[in-house]
Amino acid sequence: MIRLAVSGANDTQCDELARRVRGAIVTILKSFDQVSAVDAVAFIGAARPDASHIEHCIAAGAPVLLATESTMADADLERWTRRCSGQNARVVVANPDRCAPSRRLIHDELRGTKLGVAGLIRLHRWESGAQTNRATLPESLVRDLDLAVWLKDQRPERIFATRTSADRSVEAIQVHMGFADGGMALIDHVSGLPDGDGYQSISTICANGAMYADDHSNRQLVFQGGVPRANLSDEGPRPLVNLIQQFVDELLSPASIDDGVNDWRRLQSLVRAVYRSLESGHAIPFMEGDA
Amino acid sequence: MTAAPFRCAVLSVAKHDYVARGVASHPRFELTVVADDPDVPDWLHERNQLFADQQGIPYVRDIERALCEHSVEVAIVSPESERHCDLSIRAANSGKHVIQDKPMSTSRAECDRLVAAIEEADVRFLMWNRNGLPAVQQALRQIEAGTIGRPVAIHADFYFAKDSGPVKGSRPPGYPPIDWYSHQIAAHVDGSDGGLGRQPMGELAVEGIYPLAYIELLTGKQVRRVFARSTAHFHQVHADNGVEDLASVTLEMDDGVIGSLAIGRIGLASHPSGGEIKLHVVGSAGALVINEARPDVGVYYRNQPAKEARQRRIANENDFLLADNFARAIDTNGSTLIDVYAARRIFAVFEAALESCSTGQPVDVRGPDNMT
Repeated sequence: MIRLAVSGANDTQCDELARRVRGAIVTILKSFDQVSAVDAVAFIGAARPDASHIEHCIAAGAPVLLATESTMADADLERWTRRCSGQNARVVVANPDRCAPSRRLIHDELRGTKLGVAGLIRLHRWESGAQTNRATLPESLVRDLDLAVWLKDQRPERIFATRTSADRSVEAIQVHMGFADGGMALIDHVSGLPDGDGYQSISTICANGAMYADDHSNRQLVFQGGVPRANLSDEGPRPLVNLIQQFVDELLSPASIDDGVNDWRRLQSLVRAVYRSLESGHAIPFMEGDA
Repeated sequence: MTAAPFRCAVLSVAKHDYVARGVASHPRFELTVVADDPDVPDWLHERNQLFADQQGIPYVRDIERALCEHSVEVAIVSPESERHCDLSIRAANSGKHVIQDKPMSTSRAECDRLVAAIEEADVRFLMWNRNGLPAVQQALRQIEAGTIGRPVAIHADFYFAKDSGPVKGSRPPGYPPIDWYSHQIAAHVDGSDGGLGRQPMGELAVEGIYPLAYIELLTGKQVRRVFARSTAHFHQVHADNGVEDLASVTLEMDDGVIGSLAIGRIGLASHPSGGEIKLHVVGSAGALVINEARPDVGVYYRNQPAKEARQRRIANENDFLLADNFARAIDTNGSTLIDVYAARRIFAVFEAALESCSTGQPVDVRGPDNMT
């Protein structure tokens, strides 16, 4: 059994993980002094972890999962990866959104034979809370860029991005990707909507079929007089459980570990291409490794 | 006293008769004659004659004679796409109001000729559209009521879950490419013809007017620049003829509004009820997610044919609203839901999108006379 400490989880989340994850004893990491007493550490949640905490884990020889909603800085991840080389410690980077059951289902079906090649992947994500810094992309949009490329299983050959003007409280950004086999992806991201639930949707149009994962159809009605509410039937603790289970399974079979670093590097190149398109107003040919 | 209905000539039902039937469903319109040119192919004469017989009205193989001798006031135009403008222009030149099936044309020059003819004749023109659908009208009412504030972004998914002949990659080596025209004629039997005409047409041109009309209706904005990608992803006939059955378009519109269109003829297997058609509208104070097919009723039974929709639209007021709008436009010399200028704008968006697909760069939408 692997002793796994999770940083960024609340008590409820940790209880769910402790009950459901196989092959590991899961606890909340309350202090980084505990690192020497565990076999691995997972960083999850919204906030980007303190770099010193990660370095502490690496120094202690503990494999680290970086799966927060906020991505790491380029230089930090490259440094950690180099430091882990040849040691028991390793850094595994993961996009937590990949582990949602709906996204996994779509991914698995695309890797099968029934639906054929994906021709168009369309994502919508709407959030409340304003994007405070227009110079950076929203973290959830960055994760959706990764999601689109992961599902398509190809890097794009061309990227065009556009956004609404700066004088608006609600900001919309759109990224349009073209792939060499003719496939496409459209990613719509909105921030600054009124407080409340957000919205997500993925449509995947394939040569022999299609898949639709849409919050719109996953809502239940609540009647309390007046206009009914539409409550989302969300995916519960499954995304987090899947994420941690995947990490544990990889630790138990080290030969199969995909540290995700190459995917992460490609994602950073994509982000830079999106910036260049937004700034220039042109479509950008995408070359992996672009600075 | 109720006014006599407007007498209508149906100028060809080459593609579909739904426009003529839709107009005729309104009490202010009466189908009086079907007409076409004498030199159209026999298969087209057969379709025209069949429709005329079903309606109990004559079929005349001479358009000008029909327009002249049957006291026609309105021409309903549904030939092959490359004849759309020609028949509409001839009707306008005869002083008839025109209801035309989509697309406007496959040619910019023809579009401009039609605009000039409508202006010169000072007749009313309506491009048949779907803006009267209940879900679209409901979205419009929400936006007009200020529910979501001012629109800042809009996205339309417009997928027809229809087949179009053999799947891509199925043509055996040595076999000739599928002829577009022959295929479309043969596909009429099961309603899978889309883009009937000698010139191959992709889905942007065939169906794109519908979602682009939604976008202009709901935002009140015009598209100024587009970036587009397209491919023949599903069907051999599209691959063989160099046109798309799947496309995506990013739209940059007036006042910083952005949007997108995803459109395709995605195959029967890809949706249980004819296709996913959705609108996402984001405003300064909220957002809408609209399923264009609602309201509907689900109907399922053993051995149900695969081509039969499981969810059936109900309370579809589109035909009545379009025809009613046209009648009022004639009465008041007013505008229609999609007049010739709106139709021309939509054509310009397709033209720019197809150019963008070719160049790989965003393209400005050009109005008449190459003016932006």
